[in-house]
Amino acid sequence: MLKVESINSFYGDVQILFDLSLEVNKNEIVTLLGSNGMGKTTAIKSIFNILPIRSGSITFDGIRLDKKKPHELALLGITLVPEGRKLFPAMSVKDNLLLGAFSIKEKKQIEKNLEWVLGLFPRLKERARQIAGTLSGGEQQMCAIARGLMIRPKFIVFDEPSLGLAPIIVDQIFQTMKTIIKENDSTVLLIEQNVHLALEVSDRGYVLENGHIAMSGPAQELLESEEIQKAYLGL
Amino acid sequence: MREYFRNRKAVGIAAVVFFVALITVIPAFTQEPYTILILTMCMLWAGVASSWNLIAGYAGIFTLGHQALFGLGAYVSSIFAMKLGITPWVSIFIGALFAAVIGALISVPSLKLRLMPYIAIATLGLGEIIRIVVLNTVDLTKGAAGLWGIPPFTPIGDISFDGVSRIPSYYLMLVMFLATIAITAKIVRSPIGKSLSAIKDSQDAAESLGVNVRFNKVVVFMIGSFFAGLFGGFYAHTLLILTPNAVMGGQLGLQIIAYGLVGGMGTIAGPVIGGFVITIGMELLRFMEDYRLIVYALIIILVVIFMRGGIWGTVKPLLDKLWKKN
Amino acid sequence: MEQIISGVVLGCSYALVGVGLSMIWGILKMININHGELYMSGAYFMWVSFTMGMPLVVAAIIGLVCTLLLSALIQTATIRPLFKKPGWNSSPFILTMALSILMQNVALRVFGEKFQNIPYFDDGIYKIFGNINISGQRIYIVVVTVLVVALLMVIIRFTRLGRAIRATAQERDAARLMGVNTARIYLVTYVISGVLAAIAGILLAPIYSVNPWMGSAVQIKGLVVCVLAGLGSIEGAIGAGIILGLAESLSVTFIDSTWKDIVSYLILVVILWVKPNGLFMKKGEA
Repeated sequence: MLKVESINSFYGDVQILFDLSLEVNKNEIVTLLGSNGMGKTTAIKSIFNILPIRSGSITFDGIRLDKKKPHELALLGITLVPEGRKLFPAMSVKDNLLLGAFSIKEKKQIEKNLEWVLGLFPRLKERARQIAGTLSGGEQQMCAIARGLMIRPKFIVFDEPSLGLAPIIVDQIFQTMKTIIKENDSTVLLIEQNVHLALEVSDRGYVLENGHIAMSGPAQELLESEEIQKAYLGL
Repeated sequence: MREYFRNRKAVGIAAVVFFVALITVIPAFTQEPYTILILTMCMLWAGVASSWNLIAGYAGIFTLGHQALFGLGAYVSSIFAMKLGITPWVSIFIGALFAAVIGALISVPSLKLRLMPYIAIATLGLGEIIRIVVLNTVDLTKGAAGLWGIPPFTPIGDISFDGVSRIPSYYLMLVMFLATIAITAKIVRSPIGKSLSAIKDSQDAAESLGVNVRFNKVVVFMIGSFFAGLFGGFYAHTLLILTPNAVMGGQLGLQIIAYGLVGGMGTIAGPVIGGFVITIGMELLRFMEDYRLIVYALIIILVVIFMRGGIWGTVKPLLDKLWKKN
Repeated sequence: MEQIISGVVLGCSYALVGVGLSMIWGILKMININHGELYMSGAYFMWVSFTMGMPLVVAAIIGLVCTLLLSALIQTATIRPLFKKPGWNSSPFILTMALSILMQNVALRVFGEKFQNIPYFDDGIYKIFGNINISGQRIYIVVVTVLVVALLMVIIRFTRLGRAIRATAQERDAARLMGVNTARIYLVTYVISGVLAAIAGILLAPIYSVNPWMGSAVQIKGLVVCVLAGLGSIEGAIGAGIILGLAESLSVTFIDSTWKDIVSYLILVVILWVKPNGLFMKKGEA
């Protein structure tokens, strides 16, 4: 579905991504690992064209993403649950969700999606009128995911969903993610620092180091590999 | 010779020396009072622009009240000269000191506020308050009617500043201008200057490194205001007429900012370039009469959109590239 | 009591201008220095139509539409290119400053410095609250302001566009990811603000006469309102506008009217000292 081919990205004159290539096939859950500063955020920004790439190509079902404006991606069924949630802090939960469906024109469709999403997250249904900025960390993450789901996306990118959350909440969220993916027939690209959790839930993985892919393969293999165990799992 | 040109610093110094020599000897080439006066004003505004640039360009505090200090220097100097009979040579310094003290007051909002829009509006408000006060204390300042009959600079020996020849005041301004630029350059390179850069970059980081942010801000305001007031005094005793709107109004405030932004902020050369270019440009446009300000505004708009960093900010990188090629 | 009514009427115009400025500040994150000139545009376009023979109401509408188009032109031609390039964030400030000078002098060139008059929308004098006289024009001002502001609030709070505007103000990148064309939102916001200013200009033109400098005073008051209200707070701007109008109006009873302008500046400075975030900031507001 998503094909990233040899992209090079820069911040000003500093090169961050070097000939980065990765692939996500339909209905797969693919994880992108790497410690901070290795280029994960840059990769996301490049895919969504918030940071334009200098060379290479990004294709989604044959459509060139790097030629599109950021606000056109939602129309293709691509959603990002951003790092740090990036909810609209002064708006209510409901308004946040309605915004998630901004690219949908038919009111009926929006209402249906809203019902579905609130069904997945009963906690949010309770707090529909609450101002998003006042939610707890876990609730905010749920809201961000819910917001991303409002277009019933074909392709979801989760950027560091576990960041700053207590382990119990993280477990909950990952469970919900698995359910969503099954129910919604989606494809997922997961960016995570929590290597264990990420590889457990994914089909395949890539390891990003200093702006290029250092390792890749089926998740189980990566989990059992010595290097990963040493570098990321402290074994 | 080629070797010499490779040394960029040397070339820079040579350019400065050339410029200074040029403006020193120009009166030998043209005696026309009009031209001399224009050049005098070029230096005046370049100096005022520099004093604003010290606060806004180097310390990063975008003050919109600077014109009030210029006008205060003008009025205070005039009033001391007229009412107390003090010679203008002394009263301009009184005016400058007064401006420095008031400058310390205007610095206060920037001590607490962080965001540029707030500081801009606060300093604008304070500047306007000062203007309205000056406008309304009619007994002292004659208010909107204008202050006339300001005494010119008293003669030094045979040299008279009565306005018959514009050359003596030209050289007076030359001295003031060069002194101001030199002092400003010295300050910028000194420890205080480094502190200001740090403050402009990140106030919190500067503070954690031991920089007394508040003290530095107040000091830079006082220095910038001193110079503004000094130039104001010169203006008063050379043009001999003042009105609150002309010397401390919003239009002047915008003009001062324009010099800095068009010439290039945060550099020594920038405000000087801005001062000269805009002043000369405005005079050249005088034939356009009513359209003059329209063209002035259009030029500023174009410069802002297409030349970030002003003239110097756009030219300097090009010069740097040229040097790298060599 | 008369003063209170004057204050409220004055406050309405300040509120309209302040709300527009506040929107631009909150959403485009810039201070629009030529806002006063958009106010002036509304008045001049109306005056021109009126002197060409249009009935007053039609002239007013033409004034609005022309200012709408002018705002769109200004935003597209000058402000948008500025945002495309990175740089010092004071550039919009000086850009709109230059635009202000440009517009004032174009008006001066085209219309001259004469103060032009426009008749009141309603010549009558009405009695309210018992036996207080108030001119029809003043009633118009208050009623129109209330309607316009209410309409604006409805749009912002309950429509898709309003949500998009709020989202752009609060988290621009996230909004884009949801499909919001933020460039278009900036344009729409600027145009709405311009129209608000034009409405104020049109409403007040019969009272204060039309001239090239009518925008300057309004501009400063508008800025004061914004600061009073708190960065980007639209509802706050309404309240702040009324408060400022009342303060100025009532102050005449205590001090000489020549010092009247100082009242707004003093309020400004005091507020910035005491409560820099404004009086009406809500938690979590962008």
